[in-house]
Amino acid sequence: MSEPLLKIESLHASVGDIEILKGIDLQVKAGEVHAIMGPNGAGKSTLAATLAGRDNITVTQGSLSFEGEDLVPLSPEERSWKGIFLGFQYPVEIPGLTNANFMKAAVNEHRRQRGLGPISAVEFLRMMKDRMALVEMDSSFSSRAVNAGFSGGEKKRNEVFQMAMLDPKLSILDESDSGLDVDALRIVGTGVDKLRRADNATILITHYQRLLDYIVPDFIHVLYKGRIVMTGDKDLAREIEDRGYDWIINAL
Amino acid sequence: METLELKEGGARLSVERGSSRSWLVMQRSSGDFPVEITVGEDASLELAFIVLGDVRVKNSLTVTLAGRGASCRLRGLWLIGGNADVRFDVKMDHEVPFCSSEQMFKGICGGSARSDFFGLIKVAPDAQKTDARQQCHNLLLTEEARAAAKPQLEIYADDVICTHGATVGRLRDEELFYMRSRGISLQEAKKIQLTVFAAEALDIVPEDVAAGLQGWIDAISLSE
Repeated sequence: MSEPLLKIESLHASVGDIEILKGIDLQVKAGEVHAIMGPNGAGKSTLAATLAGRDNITVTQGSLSFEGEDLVPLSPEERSWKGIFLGFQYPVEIPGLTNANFMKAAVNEHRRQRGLGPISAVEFLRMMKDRMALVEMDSSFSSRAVNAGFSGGEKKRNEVFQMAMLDPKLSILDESDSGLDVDALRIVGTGVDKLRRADNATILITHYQRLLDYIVPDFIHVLYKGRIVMTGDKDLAREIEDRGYDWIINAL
Repeated sequence: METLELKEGGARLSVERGSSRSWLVMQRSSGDFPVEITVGEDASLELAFIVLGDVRVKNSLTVTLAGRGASCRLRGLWLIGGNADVRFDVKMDHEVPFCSSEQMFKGICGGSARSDFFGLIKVAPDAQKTDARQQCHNLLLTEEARAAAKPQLEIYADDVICTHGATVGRLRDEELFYMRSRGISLQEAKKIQLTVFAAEALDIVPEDVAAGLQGWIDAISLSE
């Protein structure tokens, strides 16, 4: 179990002609929670999107591997099948597609990749009900269109719900705490924490200490101008909350 | 819903006072089809066009809401590819008060197909309390496909509700990436997006007919 799940070495990535990630090194092992913090424009969301395989991002240098396999050539769906999950900062609305049908399509694709047939209606309903309870979604949720007309809190809860449905090995949650009131923050935070296991790992991208009260990270990394410039334990978040980033940036 | 077989050279139909008719027009071969339908007092008309494949079709439809309380629900869906050329000329004539019309047209164009939608809603001076709505939305799947949607309103009464909307767009990358990040393959994500898009034009169509279109949607989703 000491082999890292995710291994990022000297990763450089660009959006168009602009280099955003300028040499990231990061290893994430099963059972770990890593938080990535940093000022706006540091490259946090680009790192998340790069891991998920967003096609407008080009890896120009370095390597990215998951369970020892090179991720770079893999499509977003292949990465999902391998057990990578991205929780979106801005979850996408899909009018006309119900949450239930969306998840059924996703779950069945995952099963197909494992050589299994489609999930039975009974098992699927049980699974939906169980995971909806995790994020305190009521029963009307499954027949509503994906994120359409959802409040900010509902959208972020839906991300955690989808994470629970797909049971990924590595979840990258991009600002799952932004735009949340205290109740939604508690639901998202405790929901993610309940999904934490010895055989999975989570990367939390956040601006605030408050999410980390619910999910205590093993490591906190500060990303600045496309590089990790500092790594610490959970206390680093509190220090950043009190003092901002200037003391870190000024010491570079 | 009854199947209505259109013949070249034109058709004149009417929905008599107090009655209701529901027609489905399936078009898989080329032709020029002028249709005039008059809807009488308190009568209701449902009419759905489904145009499929590599066809050259011109539908010129005039619906006249001629009696008070007449209503019309109009639907159109075209799933076309190859060198298809599909044209709809729709005229919705509100002649008298208290009539309603609701139109939903959806087009998916692959290959080098093109579609033109021209929709006129005309409200006569006497036709107060008219409620007339029209939507036409198109998805282009290739660089070569073309679609145009031109809504037009001619309103001569002042106490009416008239709305229209027209768009021409492409599959949304954001949605595709979102679905793919959940493990839905690119091909499946496209099919889902097209199915969801088409569904709004199929709400009055029997379920088995709508389900029968899935093969066409799956085929057109491969269009590049």
